[in-house]
Amino acid sequence: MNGTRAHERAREAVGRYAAEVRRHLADLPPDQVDDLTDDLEADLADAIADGADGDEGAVDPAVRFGTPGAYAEELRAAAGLPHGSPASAKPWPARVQRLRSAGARAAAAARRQPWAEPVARAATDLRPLWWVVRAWIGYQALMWVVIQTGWLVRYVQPDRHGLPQRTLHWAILLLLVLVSVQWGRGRWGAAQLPRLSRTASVVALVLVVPVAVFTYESRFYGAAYADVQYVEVPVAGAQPEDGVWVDGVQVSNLFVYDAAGEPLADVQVFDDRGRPVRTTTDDGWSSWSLPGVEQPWAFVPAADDDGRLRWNVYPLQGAPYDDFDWSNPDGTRDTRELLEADPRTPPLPFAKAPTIVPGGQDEGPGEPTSTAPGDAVTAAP
Amino acid sequence: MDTTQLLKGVLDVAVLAVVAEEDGYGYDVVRRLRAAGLAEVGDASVYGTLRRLYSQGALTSYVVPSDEGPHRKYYGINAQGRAMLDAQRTDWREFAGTMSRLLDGKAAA
Repeated sequence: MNGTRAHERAREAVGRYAAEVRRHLADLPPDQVDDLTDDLEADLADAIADGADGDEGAVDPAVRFGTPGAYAEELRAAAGLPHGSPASAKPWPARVQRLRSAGARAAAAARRQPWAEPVARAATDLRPLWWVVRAWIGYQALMWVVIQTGWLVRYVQPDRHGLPQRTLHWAILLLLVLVSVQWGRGRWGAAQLPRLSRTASVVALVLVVPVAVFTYESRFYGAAYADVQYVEVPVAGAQPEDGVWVDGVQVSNLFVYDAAGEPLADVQVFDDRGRPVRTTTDDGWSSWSLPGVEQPWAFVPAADDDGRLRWNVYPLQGAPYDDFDWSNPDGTRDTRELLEADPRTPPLPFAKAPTIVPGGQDEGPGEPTSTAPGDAVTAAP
Repeated sequence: MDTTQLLKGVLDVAVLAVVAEEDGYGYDVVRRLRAAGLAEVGDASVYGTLRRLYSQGALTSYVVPSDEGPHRKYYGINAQGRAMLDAQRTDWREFAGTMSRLLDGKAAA
C-alpha cells in the first residue's frame, strides 16, 4: 500500500523532472530532443529504484541527479551538441530587454523573501488545479466564440452558463482539460514547444475577465428564462426588455383568430402609436424552442411591397433551425436567404378558437347576466 | 584528484567497451560502468555519449518491447564501433603506460 503510493509519487516526480529536462533542451530540433530523451523517464525511474532502498529523500530526482538544467546540460555536452543559450537566437528589442531585466531583478528580490519558498511550493502544488481552470476558461471562451460568430452553432448548440449541459459540451471540456494537463506536464508537444503551456496560461489569464463577464451576464439574464416551461426560450442574444411578454414569459409568436374562430394568416399588428409590435428582436438569428416541438425553430420576416422586412406580421413564419444554412456563404443579413425550404407556419396552439358573438345581437355565456335580453332590444333605436 | 575530469576523456571508450561486451539500454550501461568501478559516472553523460556514438555510426540501436514497463532502446556495437574501440584501446594503453612511467619515474627519483 505504502509502496504503491511511494511508487506513484516517484513516477510523478520523474515525469515532472523529465519534462523540465526537455524544456531545457527546447532550443534543439524536436527530433533531436526526442532522440536524447526518449528513454529518459524509464532511465530515471530505474536509477531511482536502484538508489532508493526505502529512503524517502531519494524519490526526488533533483536530489539524485541535480537540477534539470544541469542534467540537460550534461546530456547535451556528452552528446556533442551546442550549449543551450538562455537568450533565443533573435535578440529582443532594447526596451523589452530592459523590462525583462527589471522583471528578473524584481523576481530575484521576491525570491529572497522568507515567504517566497512556501508560496512557491504552494503554487507548484496548485498547478494541476490551474491546468483545469485554464481548460474551463478555454471552454467558456469557445462557447462565446460559437455564440458570437454563429460558427457551427447548430452542432454545438452552445450555452453560456459555464456548466456543460450536453454530452458534446462535456466532451469538449474534458478534451480541453486533457490537453491542458498534458501540456502542463510537458507532454503532447509541450516538450518540443516549451512555450506552449506558458502561452496557453497567458491566453487564459487574458481571457479571465471577458469570460467572467460573459458567464456572469448569462447567469444574470438566464434567471429570467430559468423557469420557462411552455413558451419559447431564446437560446442566446435576445434582449429581455423588448418583445411581447405574457405572464412573465417572453412570447415568440402571436396567433390571431377571426370572429368565427378561424385562424388568420399575415395579420399586421401595431400598437396604439402605430409602432409595429415585434415579438422577436433577433432578426431571425436565434433559435426558439416551441411548445411540443422537439426541434428548435428560427423565424423569418415578411416583406411589404416596398421590399422592407416586416416582423410584425403574425403568425411569424419560420422553419426548424436545421433547415437553414447557418454557414452563411454569402454573408447575408437576411435569414430568408439561408432557408433551404419554404417557410411555414409553426404549429397553432389550437386549430379553431371560440366563436365570438357579434355585440348587440346575442349574449355569449361570458357576458354579464345582469343585462337582460330585453334591455339590449330597447337600447337599440 | 578529480576523477570526473579524467572520466570525461575516456568515457567514449568505456561505453564502447561495456556495449561491446553485451548489448544494453541506457541505465543498464550506467549500472555496468558503476559496477566496473566508475562510481562517479554521470547518468546524463552516459546517455549523451550513447546517442553521440550512435549518431557517429559506432553503435546500432533497436527497441525491445517489454510486457511490464516501458519499451527500451538497446544499443549494440557494430564493426565501426569495434574498430574505434580497438584504436582507442591502443591509444589508452600507450597513454596509460606513458603516464605510469612518468609518475613512477618521478616518484622513484
